[in-house]
Amino acid sequence: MNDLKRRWLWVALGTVMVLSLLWEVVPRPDASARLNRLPVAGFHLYSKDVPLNQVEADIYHGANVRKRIYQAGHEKFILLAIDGTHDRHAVHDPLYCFRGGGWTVGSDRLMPVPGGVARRLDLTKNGGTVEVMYWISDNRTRHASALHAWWQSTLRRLTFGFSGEEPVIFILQPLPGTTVNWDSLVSGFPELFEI
Amino acid sequence: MLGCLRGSPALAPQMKSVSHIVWVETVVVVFAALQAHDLLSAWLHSPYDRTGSVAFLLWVVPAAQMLWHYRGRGPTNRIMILTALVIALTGGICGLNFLNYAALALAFAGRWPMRGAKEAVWLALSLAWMPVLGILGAHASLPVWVVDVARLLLGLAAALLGWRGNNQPENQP
Repeated sequence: MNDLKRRWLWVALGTVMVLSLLWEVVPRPDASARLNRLPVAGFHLYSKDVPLNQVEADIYHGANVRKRIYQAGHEKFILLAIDGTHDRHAVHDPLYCFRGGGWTVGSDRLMPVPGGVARRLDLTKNGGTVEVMYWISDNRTRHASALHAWWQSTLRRLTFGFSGEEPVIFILQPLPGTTVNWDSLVSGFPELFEI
Repeated sequence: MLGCLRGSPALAPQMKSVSHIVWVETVVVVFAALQAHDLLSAWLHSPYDRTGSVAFLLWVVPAAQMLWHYRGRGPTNRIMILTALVIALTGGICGLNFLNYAALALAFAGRWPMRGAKEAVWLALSLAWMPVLGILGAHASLPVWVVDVARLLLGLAAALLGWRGNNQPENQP
């Protein structure tokens, strides 16, 4: 490669570095305000924030996360809400983590929730079964597609946040040794589906 | 093995023509590696990616061999380097890690090029260390150990392919 071509390669490298840095430093509105709207207490509603365990802290180190134990009526569950504005890879397909953690996915079905659908999974490990529910919300619609969230997040990055609000994933699971009637939760805790 | 080749007649003319250290191409590799820094997190924390680091070390053997042989000098592939830059830029702007990882593989291939179809196969075998293999495994409901074995076999294949390619006179860069 002659000197002129090498010089142009330096220019290209510098341009790419500057543009990449620019995209990282230009702030994009995150979903903190929406996560702060998660109710803390109310009529027959109690909650308690719990710290992330070490694995979760490592995985979600750049993301804005709420982990909270709720009791809504008779239903007790753990909620994990993840805003990936500053670490988009924190919002990914939960199946990847469940299967990687040794869980076997049994039934896998969509259920209607206000503004869209959520996904319910029966997970089995060491003879125990647990049913979890998750959905992804951009504050307008709710879906359960990691690919859809990936596209929404990419568009947001390309448009500096003007394409819409950041997709936030909500993962709900029962407390150990308990079960949750997710159908009654949807009707009994509508605030969850307004965020 | 390359030590045996260092003084070989087939290689000597090439060494003369590439006697300077190729800084810009090397900086592109470093930049691509920085853009792909999430690889470390995936290798450390994701069960499906836990053998990715070993697969990467195996995959990178041929490039390291070339680095050792040429002592920072050597031929480069400008098209690969430019493609790596464009893909790294797209990956950075869109926040798409799989593009950052592809850019890293391309930067390696551009900095330490092989000849012919072997390079394309070696590049394709970079799948061995990329998290996308774990995602495919998870979607196919494969157990983690199957993906582990697949990573190690693919990495080994890349190492052997590159090693043989580097040491065959007709394939020397």
